[in-house]
Amino acid sequence: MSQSLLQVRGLSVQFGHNKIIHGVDFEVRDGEILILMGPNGAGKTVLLKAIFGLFEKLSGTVEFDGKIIHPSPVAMVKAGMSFVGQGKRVFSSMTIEENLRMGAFLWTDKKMINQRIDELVDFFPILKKKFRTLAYNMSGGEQQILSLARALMMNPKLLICDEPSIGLAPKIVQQVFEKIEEVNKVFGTSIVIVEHNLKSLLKVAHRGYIIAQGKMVMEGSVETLADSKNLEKVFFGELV
Amino acid sequence: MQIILNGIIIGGIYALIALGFNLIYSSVRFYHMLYGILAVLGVYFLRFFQMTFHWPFALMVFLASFLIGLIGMASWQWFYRPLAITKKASSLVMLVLSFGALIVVQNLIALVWKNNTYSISITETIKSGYQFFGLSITFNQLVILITTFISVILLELFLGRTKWGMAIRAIGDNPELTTTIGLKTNQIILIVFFIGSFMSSISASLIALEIGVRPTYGLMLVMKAIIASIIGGIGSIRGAMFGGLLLGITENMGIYFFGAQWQEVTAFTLLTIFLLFRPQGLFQKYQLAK
Repeated sequence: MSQSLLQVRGLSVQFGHNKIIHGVDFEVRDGEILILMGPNGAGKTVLLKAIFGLFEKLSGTVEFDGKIIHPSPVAMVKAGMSFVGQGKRVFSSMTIEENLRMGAFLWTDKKMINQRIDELVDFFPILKKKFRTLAYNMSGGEQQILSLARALMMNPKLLICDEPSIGLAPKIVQQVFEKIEEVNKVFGTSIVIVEHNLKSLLKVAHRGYIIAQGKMVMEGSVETLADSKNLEKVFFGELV
Repeated sequence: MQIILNGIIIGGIYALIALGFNLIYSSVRFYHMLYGILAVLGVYFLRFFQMTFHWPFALMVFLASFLIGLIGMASWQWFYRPLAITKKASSLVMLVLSFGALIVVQNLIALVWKNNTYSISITETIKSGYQFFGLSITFNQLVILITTFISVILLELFLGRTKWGMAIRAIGDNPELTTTIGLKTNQIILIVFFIGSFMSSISASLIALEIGVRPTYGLMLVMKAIIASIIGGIGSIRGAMFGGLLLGITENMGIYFFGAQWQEVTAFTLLTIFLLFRPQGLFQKYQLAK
């Protein structure tokens, strides 16, 4: 678990004249579940989107699986990174099967795609039941599971989940996190989760970072980060 | 029944033109007004080929439409894209820009080919009609019906069964998500512009077979595409098809009951009824307010 999978050094992101991320260092180790937390507007989503190439970085390097990569979604997906964003997570006018196929768009081997779909619908039985159903007709929790499955189609080394609990009922959130933990154990996928809902993740995550105002302010075990005093300091701006 | 058959024939063309328009709209989310005049330009290319080369008609339609497809791609890459993507222009800005371009191209066509109505005929000898169950259909109308039918089937198969078709639907559904799964969205949009423009040229060629085309028809064609799209449900491929058919049939009924001068009034009345009572169209996908 100690080998580094993703190394980000001195990453800065600027929108117009506003610097959102200030020279951040960030590391994800092989096989770990890492939580990235911080108050609203801290720059969590921007940081992860910049690592994935959805936002242009101003400076810094991104090293993934031993290679320095200039981040772009295509390059990152090819290198073995997958991103599950916030908001509308699925192609709602497409069936579950089509959603999964879209997850392996860069693969050309149909046999490999079908095999992977079989593996994933076995892993997520809810998808098997509704295989030919439009994603539009699924519940929020089911859509989140589908987005996870789609992100796993190309068997990524690293899965980034941006607030997977958003808009879900607490009971469903727990189920989604259990599934995320299972993904980590069964497929060995390293996972980064951006989350406000720290309590639900305590049992799941191995390590975490706290980010505030675009700067990393703490790194450590989830228990240390979850210490109420530290959290209070972050949310009241005392650690920045 | 004859009115309905005539309505289906013209509605089929509207369906085809609305399909291409909707396909492009779904991918870029602005009204590509230039679409109408590119369709008309296709007819002028076809006429040029007819007068110059005397090749088989289908080949010339294909070549003219292929050229229009390439121009459509170029319009995205070098005209719209710098504003829509780089400058993040709003859909209103894109609409005005596109409308301006339509006027410019319309005047250029009139400058080169004069402002006359041109109709296309396949052969001068085959003008007579066929009789089926008391209904009469001309050879040109039969060509229109068959071409529309084949085009719709091919488009449905392409969008439903192929990887690239699925990618086009995905962009129409959730463009942000397509980026995160590693799709080169610009590549897909270029394909969409090619297919949409290709289809627009085919449909304008069919219109030229039936009633003829002149440079100012570009705006009329794109308006028909917009009306059919809104009736069917903007952003919905199936909706565009049914919207086009309904528009064609309603227009023909209007002509039969009130006279030809009421054709446009009938079309816009139908649009108004839909906007008032079912703004999301027959096959809802996006609310107009979005």
